[in-house]
Amino acid sequence: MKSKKSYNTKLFYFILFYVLLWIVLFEFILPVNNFLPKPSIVMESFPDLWKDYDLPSHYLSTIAVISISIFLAYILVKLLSPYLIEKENFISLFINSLEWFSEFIPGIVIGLLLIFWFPESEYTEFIFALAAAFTSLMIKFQNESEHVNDEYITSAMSLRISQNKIDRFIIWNNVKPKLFEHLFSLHLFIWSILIVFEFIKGGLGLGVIFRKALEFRDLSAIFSAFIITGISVYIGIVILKFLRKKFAFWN
Amino acid sequence: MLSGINSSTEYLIKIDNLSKSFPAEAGLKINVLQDITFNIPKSEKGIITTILAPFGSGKSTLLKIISEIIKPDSGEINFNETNKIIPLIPEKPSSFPWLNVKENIEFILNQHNENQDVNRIISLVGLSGYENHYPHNKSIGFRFRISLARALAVNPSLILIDDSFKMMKAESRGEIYDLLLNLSLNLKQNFIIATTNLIEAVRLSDKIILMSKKPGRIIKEFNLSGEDRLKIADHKSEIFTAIKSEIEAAFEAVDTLSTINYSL
Repeated sequence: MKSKKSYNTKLFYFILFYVLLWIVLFEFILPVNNFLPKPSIVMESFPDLWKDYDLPSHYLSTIAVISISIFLAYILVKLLSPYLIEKENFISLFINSLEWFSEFIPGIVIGLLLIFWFPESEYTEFIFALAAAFTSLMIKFQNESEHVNDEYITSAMSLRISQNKIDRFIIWNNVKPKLFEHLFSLHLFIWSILIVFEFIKGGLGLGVIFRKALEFRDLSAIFSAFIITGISVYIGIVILKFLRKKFAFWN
Repeated sequence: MLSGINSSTEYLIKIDNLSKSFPAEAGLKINVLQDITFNIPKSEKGIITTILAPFGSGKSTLLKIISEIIKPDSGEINFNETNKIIPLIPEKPSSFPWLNVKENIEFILNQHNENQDVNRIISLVGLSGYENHYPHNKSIGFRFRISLARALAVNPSLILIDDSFKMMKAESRGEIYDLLLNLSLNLKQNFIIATTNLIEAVRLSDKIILMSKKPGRIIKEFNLSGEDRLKIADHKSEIFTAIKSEIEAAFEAVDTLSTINYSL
């Protein structure tokens, strides 16, 4: 409880300090510059972002892709978990190859290929986000399932709990808190690669707003979109914390 | 010297010439257990048998074999009961942290279609009033009670406990000892407890089996009566000193004395 309080206090003072610094420096001392916009102009640019840049549809598209892809990836890993525990089946070997592959090839390269192959498809972005989230969660699950506390398995076996139940219930629940922990970094990772993906591909998404704002050299729009992204990521973290407390509280 | 359990021609469990080895580096094998032979007779009350042995003597392996989690290389186990389930409570109690006390027990009951009253089991292990509590932030003693309740849920004739008390606080450990003695007396529940602690063995047991290490072999057996146990409770009593000396001598003979814990 104490550490949670201190984290929120630290975050509050961190933001307050930089916002005040920004206001003092760029509203009063350096109002005209090429680095950061005037705070008052940023405030005025929010309505423009809404109207001129079509923020609602772009924002909803990105949020939908991120939340649905992470949720579906989680469900898929849960469904496939018994096959991921087995080391010698096709799925496990495939994951091992993906893990090895991902050490050398950044995910965004796959995204670029998808953009090249399906430039017009509306689903490319979703498939890319789902593939990235699914792969990351699968690898995490498989690695963590190797470190399940032995006493749970020993005790369950002695009580004649079926292997299927051990895999689906005991190992899954043992790994669940670690998967939730991983969702925090995965969530940030998906945000980053998706914005880059949308920036390159075009179509819908917050990345498209960044691209347009950059084309128009609209610094205040870039800054506003940046603030909206930051707040959205923070809200995502708060939601994940709530879900962890609700569904994986035993970590 | 000691009075012993009332002998019975019928046995609860009979273990004959059990041996187990595990593969090691360079194609070698490590002998963990060698020719383990003992039996526990059936009794009108539950019998608590303690396997007193130093670290690395294969106690856990022996319990896993008895519970049929792993198979021995040779030898056999005859368990003379219709219910063949022998629950094992591991060193770290293994109650599921994602289920509360009641759900932990219900999970096992549902797996075996047992119609036992959950509240009765909860009350047996002294957790009445804690039905909806989760074990993840509770003491080891609390988690042990849940593990014990889960074991009792399958209505077993014999429960195995693998040195689960050593991480408990002394106070909690004393309460658990009383609980086990109570279950043994009133519920006729049999236990095999593996431990490295002599006082624990003496305080709880109807029968103590001493095992040496590398490979684990049985070096001596002691049978104690309830009367013996009452006298032994006084650590300054003659009988306590005598049995302690006898155990020390038995271990000294096989050079494994130093790893036995002689205090609570």
